[in-house]
Amino acid sequence: MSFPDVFARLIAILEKHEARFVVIGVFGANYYAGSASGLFTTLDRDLFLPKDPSNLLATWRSCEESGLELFAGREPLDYPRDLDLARRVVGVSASTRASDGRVLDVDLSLTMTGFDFDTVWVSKREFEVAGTRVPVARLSHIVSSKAATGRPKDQSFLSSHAEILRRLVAEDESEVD
Amino acid sequence: MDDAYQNALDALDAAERACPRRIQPVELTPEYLEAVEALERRPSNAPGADKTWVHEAIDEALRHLASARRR
Repeated sequence: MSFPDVFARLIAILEKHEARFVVIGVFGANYYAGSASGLFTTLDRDLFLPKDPSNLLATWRSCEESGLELFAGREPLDYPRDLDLARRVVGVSASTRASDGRVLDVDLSLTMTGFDFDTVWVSKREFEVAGTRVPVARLSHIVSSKAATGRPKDQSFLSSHAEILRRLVAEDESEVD
Repeated sequence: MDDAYQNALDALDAAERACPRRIQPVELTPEYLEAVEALERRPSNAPGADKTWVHEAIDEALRHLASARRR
C-alpha cells in the first residue's frame, strides 16, 4: 500500500498492532480544516494514549517498525523496551517521543490537559487516510485542552484558529445570501 | 543561610514579581465554540471522510521548508 507520508504509515502499523490512540493537538485540528489554507504546518504529531502498559508497548513497537527512533526527553528510550519499562513510564505518566530526525516528531502522551482518555476516546471521530482509519479527538476537545494548557504557543494557535473560523463562517453566510 | 545565597533568592523573588505570568488559561468565546461545532458538523468532516489530502499537503509544505536555503 502507498502512504502519503511516514505518519500515515505509522497509523496503519498502529492499527495492525491494535494500539489504541487518538490524534490530538494541532495536527488533530488540521483534519477538520476546510481547505489547505486552513492547515497549520507542523512537525509535531500528538497521540493521546490510555495509561495501559501493554498498549504503550504496542505503540513503541509500531514506531520502531515504522523506522522511527524512540526518545524519553532528549535521551534515547532505555533498553530493554519491554512491559516492565512501559509500566514504569505509565506509572509516572511520562511522555515518550518517536522521531525520524527530519520531518516527523510524534509525541506519545499519556495525558491531555482537562481530559481523561476514555472521554476523548468515546467521542472521537474516525477519518480515513490512504484506506486506514485514523481516530481523531473532537475538535472541541482539542481546542478546550489547548485553552486550559494556555502556553504561549497554544494561545497563538487558538488566536490563528479563531481567525480561520471567522473567515469560514463569513464564507458560509455569503453563500447562504 | 549566607548573605550571597539570600541575595540570590531575593533577586529571584523580585524577578518573578516583575514578570507577569506568561501561562494563563485562555477563555474560549461562545462564538468561537459555536464555530468549532459547526465545523465538526460539516459534511466534509463526517465520520469516514477521506483526509489523505491533509497528510499530502502538510508533507509537501514540510519538504518545501526543509529544502529552503539561505541566499
